[in-house]
Amino acid sequence: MTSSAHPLIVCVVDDDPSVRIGLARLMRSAGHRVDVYESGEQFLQSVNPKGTACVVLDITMPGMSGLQVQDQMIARAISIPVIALSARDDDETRRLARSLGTRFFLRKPVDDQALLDAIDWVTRGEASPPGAGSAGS
Amino acid sequence: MSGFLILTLSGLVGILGYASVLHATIGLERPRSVVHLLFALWSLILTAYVAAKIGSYRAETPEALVLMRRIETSGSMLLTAVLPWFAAAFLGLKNLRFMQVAITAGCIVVVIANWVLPYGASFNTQPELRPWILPWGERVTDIRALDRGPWYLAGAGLIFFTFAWGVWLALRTRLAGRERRRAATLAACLALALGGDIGNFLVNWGFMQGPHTAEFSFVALVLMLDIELSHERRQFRTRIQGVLDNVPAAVQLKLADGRYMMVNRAYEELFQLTQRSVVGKTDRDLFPAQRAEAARAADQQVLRSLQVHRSEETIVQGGSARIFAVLKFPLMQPDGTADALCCIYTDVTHQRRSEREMDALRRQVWHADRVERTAVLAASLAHEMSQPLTAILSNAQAALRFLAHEEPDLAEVQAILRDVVRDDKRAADVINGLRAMLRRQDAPRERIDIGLCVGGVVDLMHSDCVERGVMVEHSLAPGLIVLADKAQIQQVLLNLLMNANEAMGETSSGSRRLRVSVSATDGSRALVAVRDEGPGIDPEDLERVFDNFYTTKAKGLGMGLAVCRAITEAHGGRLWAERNAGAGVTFAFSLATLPQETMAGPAAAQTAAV
Repeated sequence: MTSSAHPLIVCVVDDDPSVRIGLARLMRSAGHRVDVYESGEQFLQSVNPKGTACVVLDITMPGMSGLQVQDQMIARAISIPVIALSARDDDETRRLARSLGTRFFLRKPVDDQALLDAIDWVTRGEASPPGAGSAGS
Repeated sequence: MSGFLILTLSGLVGILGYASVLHATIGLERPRSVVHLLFALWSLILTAYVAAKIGSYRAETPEALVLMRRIETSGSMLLTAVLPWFAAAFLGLKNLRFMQVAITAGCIVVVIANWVLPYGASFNTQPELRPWILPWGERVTDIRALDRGPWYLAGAGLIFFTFAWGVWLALRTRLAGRERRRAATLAACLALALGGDIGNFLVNWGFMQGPHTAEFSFVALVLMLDIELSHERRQFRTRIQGVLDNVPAAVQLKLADGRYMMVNRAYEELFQLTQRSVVGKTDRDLFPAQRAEAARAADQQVLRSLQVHRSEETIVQGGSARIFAVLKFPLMQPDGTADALCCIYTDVTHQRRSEREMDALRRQVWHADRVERTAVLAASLAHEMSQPLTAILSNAQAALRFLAHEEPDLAEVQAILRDVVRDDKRAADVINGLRAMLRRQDAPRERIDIGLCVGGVVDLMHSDCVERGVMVEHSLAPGLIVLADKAQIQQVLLNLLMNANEAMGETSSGSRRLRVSVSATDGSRALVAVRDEGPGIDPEDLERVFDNFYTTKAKGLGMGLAVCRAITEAHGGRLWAERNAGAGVTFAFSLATLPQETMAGPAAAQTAAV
């Protein structure tokens, strides 16, 4: 579904350039404004929490992993809703992500509708929607 | 019949002289033979003795007679003195020293007396020259010692005693079972000599009519011993044949003109012929023309070049084809030319078969290791695949959304599709890499850019490294071309990188650094190094880690590093480990680089691609 342009920005954090570009395109095609970051450090340094709707965060990254980024966000009181993306999908990682406040956990390759729906939910500021937030493609 | 005795004695002198020279020559050959030298001495003394005897028989003055008899007596005493030494050498006896010295001393005393006394030991007073008619009418000087002095008796007694003692010694040795043949021969010879001596005695005392007999029996003694020693030399050839007949390889000896000299039993069985039927013939007489010509050519090559020639031949034996290693070499004369050659056939069928089996086994082990590595890599590969697939899906779905806009941005869609194609190729590369790693057969070596190849493996390992929190630094020099089996080199790198990652599993997360480098060394080789910062390896284990079945892990065969070393060595390099100055270990190997060729565009990309 197409939605009207949102005022807030969606952040995409992924170390893989192809994935970054693909996700960014997807966001734009759905009318979102996108900021891309190639590492957790870069994101933490440059993000403006006020203008950000949510962050699509890759879990498996070199250097600082997605979980470590979330840790840092808590420590720095950066309160942005997190949608986690990962090629690796196991209970341990999910549990950890949940405990760090992840709102949604999606598996790669990610279906466009599932991702956009997740972004909509999160942007509207609602609590976890009915049904588990672990829709994958 | 006149002159019969003198003539015979002259003949004997000739025989004895010849025997002396012959055995002296033999005795001086290496290894030196004391037996032959003593025998030569004995013959020489006898030569002088018999010559002096002739002189006595033909003496025309009393002074001449006395002189000749003196020489004779000296001869017989010296003969006696040498006997104990010869007997000891001939029979291999050791503790005769006392008798040897005593007898020699006694003989020397008699010899001295012989020359000091006015008329020698044989005569007390000047002898008269009397003619002596021998039974067959020959006329010689009477040499009988009818006027005997005490020294004569002493000398005769010593001779008698020594020869009798010699007979006893030989018999005792024979009965003790040592040197049976030699002991028997010597006993017989000395008994004969003793008999001749007794004959002399009887003639001198007038009990027997006729000439002295000692010299004849002495000559018989020499002849018998000569025959014995020659027989032993001939035995040598029989011994050699005996040795060769038990050698499992087929041996063939030929003269330079191609005629067979000797073959052993194994040769007879291999070629189904007998030594008797073959000696003196050539290859042309025995084998088909083609084979004979080939053999002749190889023989002449060996004789000309004086070099050992090795080749392999397949021969059908007992219905099955067997492989033989053929060794041809020249047999050299002391002057440096070759007058014969030898050919040895050794059955190596089993060895070749084992080698082939070992080769197949090695390939299996390498493949198993490669599959094991790749399986471990599977999780990382899945991750590697998911990245391009994610990109492709998001891109394609974005493109659909863009096209659904009121005014679709076709340029954007075009860009999207280009990216989709690129990402698809990326995924395909992962699959192709996997395919190559799982391939069974050895591929032919090809020119690969070692930097790109190593880089490819580093990419494959990317996810694994990320998950373990390992930071990879790489410095891969471009343009270094080597001739290698890419999958095998990748296998080596996979092993090293995985080991490094596992080693650093326990290290604190800040310092898990993996450094991979490809660089040129001294212009002709490329050095590949993988450096980790793990706990390291003990100095005494730095070589042991490459042993088969060495492992510090609970799982796995432990073949990894052994296989890696085998692969690098097959490529003309060598894999080694060294401790880093700081923490961890560096594994490195080098390969010979090829000079770069200028290659045209796309083809270059194909061959040098990862």
